[in-house]
Amino acid sequence: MRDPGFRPPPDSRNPDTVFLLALLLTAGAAQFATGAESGSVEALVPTWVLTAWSVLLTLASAVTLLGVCWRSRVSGILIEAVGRVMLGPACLAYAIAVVVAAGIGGSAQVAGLLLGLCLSSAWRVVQIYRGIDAMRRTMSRISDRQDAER
Amino acid sequence: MNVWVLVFTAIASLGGLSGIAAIGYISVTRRKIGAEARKIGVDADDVMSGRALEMYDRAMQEAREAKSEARGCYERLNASEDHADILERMLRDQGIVPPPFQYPLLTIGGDR
Repeated sequence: MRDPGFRPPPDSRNPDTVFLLALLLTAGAAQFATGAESGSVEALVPTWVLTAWSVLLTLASAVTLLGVCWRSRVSGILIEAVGRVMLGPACLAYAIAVVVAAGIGGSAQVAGLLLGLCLSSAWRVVQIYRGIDAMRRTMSRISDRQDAER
Repeated sequence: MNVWVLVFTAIASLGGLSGIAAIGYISVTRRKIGAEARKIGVDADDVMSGRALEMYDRAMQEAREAKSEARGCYERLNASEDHADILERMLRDQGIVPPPFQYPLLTIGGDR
């Protein structure tokens, strides 16, 4: 009988996610490599914080993308979780910088997009955590059942 | 220093630190999942994709069917033995002692 407790978390290997992560990776890497900046973050924080943040954004999107594209499903979603844990705060910090620099009226779209990314990353981490937890409980139940049948 | 700088820096640092903590968490979790999967004789990726559970369901279904079939065979065997006993008793009642049953095939080239 199928164990009702386990439902694998949905796969995030879809074109939208891959595109968005590739875009963030490119943006973060370009900022880090060339020093080019949109102005909002540059206006708010000192250069070293800016550099650290762009490294975080690049690393977070690269790790998430790596996890999404990883061949092994279990390792892939765990790597993705690490990336998402970093990506959420990086996007939240960016959204705050944009709102502070341009005001809520002038930055609603960009800030909304970044906040959405932050929330979706947080939700994805929860999804992965719950999926892994359910998977472990299912395996443990099967193991107990096998022990009982022996 | 502006308060927003502090907020920005704090959130970015939180991201970096949680990333480092998450690396530790996932390496331990991956090892545990691998060990649990090996214990029940499946691949962790198959469990995650739902394939292992489908295989498990199918195997359980086949086992149930085989068990039910075996029970049917056992009942038929018991019934046949009952019939043989009844027949033997009837023959004995009529004074006929049936010869011991021989398996013809076993006698070919055998000791008997």
